[in-house]
This record gives sequence, C-alpha cells and structure tokens, in this order.
Amino acid sequence: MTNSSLRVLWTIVGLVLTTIGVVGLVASLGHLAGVDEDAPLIWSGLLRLWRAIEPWGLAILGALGLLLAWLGAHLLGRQLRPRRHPAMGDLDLRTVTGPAAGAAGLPPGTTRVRGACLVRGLERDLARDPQVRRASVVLAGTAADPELWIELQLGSRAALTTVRDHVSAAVGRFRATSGLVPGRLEVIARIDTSGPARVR
Amino acid sequence: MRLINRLAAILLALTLLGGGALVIIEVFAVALHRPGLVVDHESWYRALTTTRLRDPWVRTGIVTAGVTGLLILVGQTVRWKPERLPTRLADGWHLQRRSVERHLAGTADSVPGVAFASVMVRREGGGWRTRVRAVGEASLGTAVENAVRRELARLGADPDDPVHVDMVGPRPVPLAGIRLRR
Repeated sequence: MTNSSLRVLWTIVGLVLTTIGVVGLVASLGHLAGVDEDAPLIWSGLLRLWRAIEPWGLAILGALGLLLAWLGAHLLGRQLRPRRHPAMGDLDLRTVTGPAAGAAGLPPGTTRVRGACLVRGLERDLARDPQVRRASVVLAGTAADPELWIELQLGSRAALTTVRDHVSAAVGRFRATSGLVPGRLEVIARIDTSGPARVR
Repeated sequence: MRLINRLAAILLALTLLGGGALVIIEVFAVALHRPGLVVDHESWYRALTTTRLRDPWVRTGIVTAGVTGLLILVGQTVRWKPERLPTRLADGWHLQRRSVERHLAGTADSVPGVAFASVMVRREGGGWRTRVRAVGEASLGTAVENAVRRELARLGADPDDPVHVDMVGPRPVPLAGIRLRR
C-alpha cells in the first residue's frame, strides 16, 4: 500500500471516530432528537427486533464477523506485500519486438528473457561508475509500457551532472539490449555521507 | 508519520481479523447453545442492558473515541516532511531528503570555526527551503551560507532558493579536571 493510500485510510478512520465522538456525546447529553440518554446501550427496540427476526440475527452477526475478518486479512495482505511496484516477470521477445516481427513470420517457439536478468544487468552497468556506490533497479509495468525505478547510492563528492549522463547512457544501452522503451523513469539518489570522520 | 501509519495499519488489520474471527466463534457458540469461549454471554447481556448512554463510563469512552479521531485527523492533514526532494538535473530525478540534510550539515561543519551544524531542507513550491543552524561565531554566517549554497548548486537546487543560516554562539566549555590555583 502506498503512503498516500494509507493517509486516505487513516483520514477516513479519523473522520469516523470523530463523528462517533461528536454524535455520541450529543446523544449522551440528551440533545439528540429521538435518542433517550436514559436508555440502555442495548435498547428495547433493538431487543424486540432481534427476537422478531430470530434466528436471522445470528446469521447477520456471523456475516458481519466474516466481513470484518476478510477486511483485516485483505489489509494485512496489502501491508505485507513486499514491493510497491510489482516487478515485471519474464519477457516474451515477440511482445517486445512488436507486430512487425510477427508479420515477418517467426519460426515456431518462443524466446523468453528473465526480467530479473535485465534488471541485474542494468544495476551492474550503473555501478560501473565509481561515483555510484550501489544501484538498485525495479522494472515494473508491462512490456508495452515499462517503468524503471532506479535507486542510487552516491559518494559525497559525486558530480551529479556526470552521474546523470552516465545513467542516461546506461538506460540507453538497456533500451537497445532489451527493446523495452521505459515510459517512466524515476531516479532517487541518496548521498552517502559515511566517510572519514572529521578530526577536531 | 509514514512509519506510524504503516504500523498502525498492520495493528488495525490484526484487530479486524481477530475481532471478526471472535464474532464468528461466538456466533457458533450461541447457535450450538454452548458457553462463549472468550465472552461470557450472560454478564455481557446484563451489562449492556443496564448500562445507560448517559453513564460517565460510556461518556468517557465516547469522548476518548472522538479525541482519538481528531488527533488522527490532525496527524494526517498536517504537512509531512518530504521523503525526497525534486532536483533540476532531469525529469524524474529526486534526492533523498535526509541524505541531503546530512550532507549539507557536513558541509557547514567543515567550515573552519564551526563546531556543529544541523540542516533542515523542505520543499517549497518547486524548490527547496534550507535552514542551517550552526554553532560558531556570528561572523562565520556568510562563509557557512556560501559553502551550503555551493553544495546546493551542485545538487541541482535552484540558486534562488532561500537559505537561512542561524549562528549560535559557542557555549563556554567547562574545564573538566583542571583546578585553578590561587
């Protein structure tokens, strides 16, 4: 789940709790029309309804429990999913080279390239520049509309313009090798400040 | 806040899962005329049919829920520290904010005469707003600002972005272990 979707989730939770607090307090003080502040939490009307629809009340309660448990499991699953951007799987080269290759009449059989291999290749290419201490790449999206997410760890003296040119060249080589044209390229650079400590 | 949100969401998910499972278990217990596994049905029924809406405990619970909700809302609506800062180097390029702050603090710290520096960088419009707090003589302020501006230019920040430098006078260092003789 992304940070913004979590923010929306908690804004909704906050709004619901605030509404419960405000409406509940007004009702508890006896200022809410139609609600008797002297009535017990399970009021007689609710009890009458429960007895009238028996045994369906239990079934409704069970369904509610199932819904809550499903919501919890779904939310937990989304939290524990490892990657924000699902990595692209293996590439069928026919989808990469496009319909022109199909029209030319390909021999039977398919050639698949592992997405992870392409990613490792790009990471190694990026790390060839000594200014780049570490590079990690996520190749997301589809073969028709791939996305590249690059995280770089740079030395504190790295010249960013040189690094930028190196990254563009590496992405250009990636494009030529894989045939994938990234529709979106995001680069996040971290400046590594760990180095010899200053002597005072 | 991002980490708190994530951990709280896991906690919420576990609570929903546990609560839902408990409701299902108790429903089966009632349907099979068995005593509840966790909930004592008789005492809960008695409590819920005798506790009134205006009872102080109920009111406290309601107010707690409301205040918690308000706090959550405030936490979500205030401006968060950005995780990354956009740079003018190229489209889609960002720098991790914390590493930029650490790097700039090191730069300010390396100016001769500065004993300690901390830096805060925030996003402002399309650019960055930098605030430096350094321990040293006030006259070093310009030198610190120049050094920080040089690094900011190297990192791809706009040269017109505001940089504030606060110089804090060094505290007198107690001479530990040295006793002055009269």
